[in-house]
Amino acid sequence: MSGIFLEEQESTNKLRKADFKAALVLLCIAILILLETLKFPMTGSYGGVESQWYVSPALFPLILVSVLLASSALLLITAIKARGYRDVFNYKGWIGDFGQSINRDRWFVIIQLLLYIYIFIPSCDFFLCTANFLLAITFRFYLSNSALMLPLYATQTIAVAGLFGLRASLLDEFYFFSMEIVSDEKLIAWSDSLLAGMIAINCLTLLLFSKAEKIKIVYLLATCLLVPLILVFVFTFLLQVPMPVEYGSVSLFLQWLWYDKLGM
Amino acid sequence: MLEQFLYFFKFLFELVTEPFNLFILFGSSLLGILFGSMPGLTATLGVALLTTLTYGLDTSTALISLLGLYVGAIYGGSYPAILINIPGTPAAAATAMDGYPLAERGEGGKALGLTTTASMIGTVIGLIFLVVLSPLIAVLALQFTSWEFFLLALFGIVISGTLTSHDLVVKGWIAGFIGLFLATIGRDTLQFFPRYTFDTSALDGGLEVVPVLIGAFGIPQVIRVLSEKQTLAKAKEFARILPEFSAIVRNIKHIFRSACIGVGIGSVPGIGEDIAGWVSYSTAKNTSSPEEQKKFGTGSETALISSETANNACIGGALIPLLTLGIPGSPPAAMLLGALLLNGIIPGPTIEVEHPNFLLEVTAIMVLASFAMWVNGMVLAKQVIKLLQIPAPLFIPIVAVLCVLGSYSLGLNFFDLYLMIPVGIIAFILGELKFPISPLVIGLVLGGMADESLRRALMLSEGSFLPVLQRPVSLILLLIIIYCVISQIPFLKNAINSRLGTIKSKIFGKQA
Repeated sequence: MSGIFLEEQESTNKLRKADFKAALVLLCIAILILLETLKFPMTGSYGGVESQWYVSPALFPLILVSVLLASSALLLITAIKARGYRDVFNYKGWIGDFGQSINRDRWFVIIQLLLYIYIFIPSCDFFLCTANFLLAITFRFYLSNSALMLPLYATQTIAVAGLFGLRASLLDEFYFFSMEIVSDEKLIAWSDSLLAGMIAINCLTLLLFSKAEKIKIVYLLATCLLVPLILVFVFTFLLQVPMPVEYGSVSLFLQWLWYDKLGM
Repeated sequence: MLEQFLYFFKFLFELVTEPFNLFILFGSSLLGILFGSMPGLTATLGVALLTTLTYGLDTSTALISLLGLYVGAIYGGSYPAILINIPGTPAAAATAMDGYPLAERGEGGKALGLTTTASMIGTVIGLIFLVVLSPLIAVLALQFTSWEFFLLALFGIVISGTLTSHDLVVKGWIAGFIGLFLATIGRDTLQFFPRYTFDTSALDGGLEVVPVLIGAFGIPQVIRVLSEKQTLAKAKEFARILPEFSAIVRNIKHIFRSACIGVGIGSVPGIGEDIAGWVSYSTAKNTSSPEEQKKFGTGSETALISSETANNACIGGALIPLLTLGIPGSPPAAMLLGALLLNGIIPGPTIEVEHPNFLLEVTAIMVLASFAMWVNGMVLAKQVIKLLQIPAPLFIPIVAVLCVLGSYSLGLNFFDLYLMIPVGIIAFILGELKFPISPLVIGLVLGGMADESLRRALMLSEGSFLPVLQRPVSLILLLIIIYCVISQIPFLKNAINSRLGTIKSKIFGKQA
């Protein structure tokens, strides 16, 4: 009984420490929002409308930010009362303890998602990006084979560096991040080739060095290569949703097969 | 009345005689059961992902698929709850308490039969409440002014923040107010002034609800399930599933009470099926005979029936405020609201004027959806269970890909995609810190209405807050909000309690 109580107490202490940090962050954000909101017109004329304070676009955000400030302050006070300010300068309390595998895994998934969405999808064919993402995730979580991870990290780094290198050499203006859909066919073709090469290396590493059962490898390859192909097919041809990079190599091949060869 | 009755059956007949509709109905219901049964996937995420796929379909077909999935997903959570003791959705948590002991005794088929039939009955009773109460609430809501709508939105945030918070209640409120704040991003509706857009044209139109919801509900699950390396136990073997009508008849009073609890809880903005399941479970325990009470937690059919009836009856309850006031009763209902708006239907008191018989159409679709769920449950349970054996590291990354495609395909722009990930990561962090996500979503959905209603109300009263106190409904809502807030702030609560104590002792002190 006392063990359960101590466990609960420890969990509450941990939460209050996290609450202290969360309240500090929320207070900072609320203050920034307040500063931005104070720039909105409270009275006067905007868009041809004579404005009173009660129709100001700042009214509702000001109420919200005040409530947010009060709530965050309440959270902060509660955390301080429970001595949640301890360990505030310990970096592990902010980003997690890397000695624990759960934290390493969380960061791995987050980084893979960020790479997939912000780097690979806007640059390469959707099938290739997805296959690359699925290989990375399944290598770590389905096979759990550390021997495969080093080549994976190497290919990922080469792919990212290569994509930036291609942008630098093939485009007039280099960018890290873009809201625009890439339409430079030459850049897409090179990017696709690079990513396809990295995927091939990962698949070869898997086939040559994995000690997993054959059936597991078959399931993994089916998930990573077949499922994205089915998804691309369903979305492109059945739901008529164009893929993010329309001139991707696999998308162009599927379009040629579907429209020109099969005459659909 | 007769005219409406005839229209209901005419519409039902039209739906049933269209093979495409039936295909969509049974397909989406099965998909819902799959979503509900896969731990880590939720009804809200299912509805959010399907919304993006049904955007191009006509409204009836889109609604058939979304409601079919919603009903199926709430029921589907009972599969892993019964067979592997892991609730597929939070709504099925109470089901696991008595379903798994039954499965351990080799009565898994009986447990599934009970939950399937109880879920169908629960859904249908919820629908009866929907049909009866909605027109009354809609008539009442026609009298509402902007003050009432503003306070209803605020009430939704405060109550959902209070009830969904597993730690400090203030965290639920903070989540709700963050949601309301997110809704203010973009050009405001009255003066078209750009708020927090930072000269980014993509932010002018505000944040799209669907990518935010996909991010908030999908990405945290992907991170959580993979990093926590959740592995599922082997499902218990079970015999043939039968409807178990005799057990249903034995528990008829529990069924009706649980359905009423489900509808009541479902109709409160922001809280949903999980709370209904637990409340109904504890009510059934408290009202059962001492012999039956002893069976609770060890495989009681009453417990199983009560929790499953309530969580499915919640669907009808959640649709009542959604269709009559435009306020979602649960997170999946918030997503349904987004889907309805995408299809050009604006739920609210005037829905029956703008779309005559819409309520009857929704009811007819829901009747079919509950029937499809029952048939799928009776026939395909064994096949669905086989899918539960797919390792999470194989299917969860595919869910992540579906989240990406879902976010992108609706608006075909990168901004929605880029938005989903930070929202997902923030939702994950908030979840880890025990901030509930439901109030955030409800806040995002209700923020626009709250902002516009407040300013309209003040415009009409020329800046005076006095009308709030002069209108009975707004006064009641205001008092409830104040009570909810005060009862959770320790020093205010203590001050009131000590004051009340002093008054009591003054009044009763001498008598004592």
